[in-house]
Amino acid sequence: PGTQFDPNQATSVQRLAQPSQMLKKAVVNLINYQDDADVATKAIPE
Amino acid sequence: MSSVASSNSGQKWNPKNLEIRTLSVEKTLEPLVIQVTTLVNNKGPSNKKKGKSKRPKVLVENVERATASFIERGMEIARANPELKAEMDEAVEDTRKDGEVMSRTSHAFADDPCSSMKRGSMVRAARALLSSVTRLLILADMADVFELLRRLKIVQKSVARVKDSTNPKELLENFQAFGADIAKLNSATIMRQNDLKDLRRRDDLAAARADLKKNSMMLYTSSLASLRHPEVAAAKANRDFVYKRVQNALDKISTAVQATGPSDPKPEEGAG
Repeated sequence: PGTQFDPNQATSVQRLAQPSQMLKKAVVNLINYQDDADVATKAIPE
Repeated sequence: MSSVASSNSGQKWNPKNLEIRTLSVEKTLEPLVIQVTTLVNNKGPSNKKKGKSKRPKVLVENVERATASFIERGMEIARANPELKAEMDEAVEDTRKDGEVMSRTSHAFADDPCSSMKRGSMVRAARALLSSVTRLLILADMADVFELLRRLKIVQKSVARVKDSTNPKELLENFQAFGADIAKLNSATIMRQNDLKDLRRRDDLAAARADLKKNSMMLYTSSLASLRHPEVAAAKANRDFVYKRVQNALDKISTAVQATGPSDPKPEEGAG
């Protein structure tokens, strides 16, 4: 039991770390969507 | 407002100062900084695999959900830290506004992903959102220091009770309570020590913790001697001396955790 993570013991920064990571992933996925858009731009003739 | 935070807690910080003092804040922010830099610099097609993205509206929803989750957690921390509530509420509100702009510009971009103008607007919104997230994380770090200082004040009170004990039984009880309070303080300070970016401040905190540990034990024996031999002035002087050392160690911890800006080199760091 001593090695288990207790959320009540987490610091404020630790509590914000997970939503920060979620935000990061979400925006990175938007960047990847831009990559797809680049491909679409190239594939479609003027 | 900095004055509010200072007057309520004796803190020496200015909450407007966006200095990153700990590795955990830096580590949390680093991917976000890279991500926005990528958004700004990545003008041409990247080497990443194509065709793996989800539909754009889903991606925008994910950003909205992530921002909402961050804001919710920020509000929880604000409620738990009345000393910093005004600053945190302000930062949460800024994050909410920047999140709304990010959401709006992301939707526009998702509707027209080939528009460089709409992409540019989204990038600007992402940078503003990052700035708000940074501020909230730094305020959360301050909240962690407030918590540490609260534990420090509890220890200051319990050490005074040890000194003021009037008989050996009371001394033992007060010393046991003091030990429990010290253990709670120690778990917070060791975490802070390992997290500090400034190596000199890490050393300062380690030295103060060592002083506290060493003198805490001596406080019990010197207090006991003083109680058993009230007629010996040297015994009382000895106890008072040790008590002062404990107080000094606590003051050093307080100074080290609140220190801002670059630290000054120590004499022992000179050429030799």
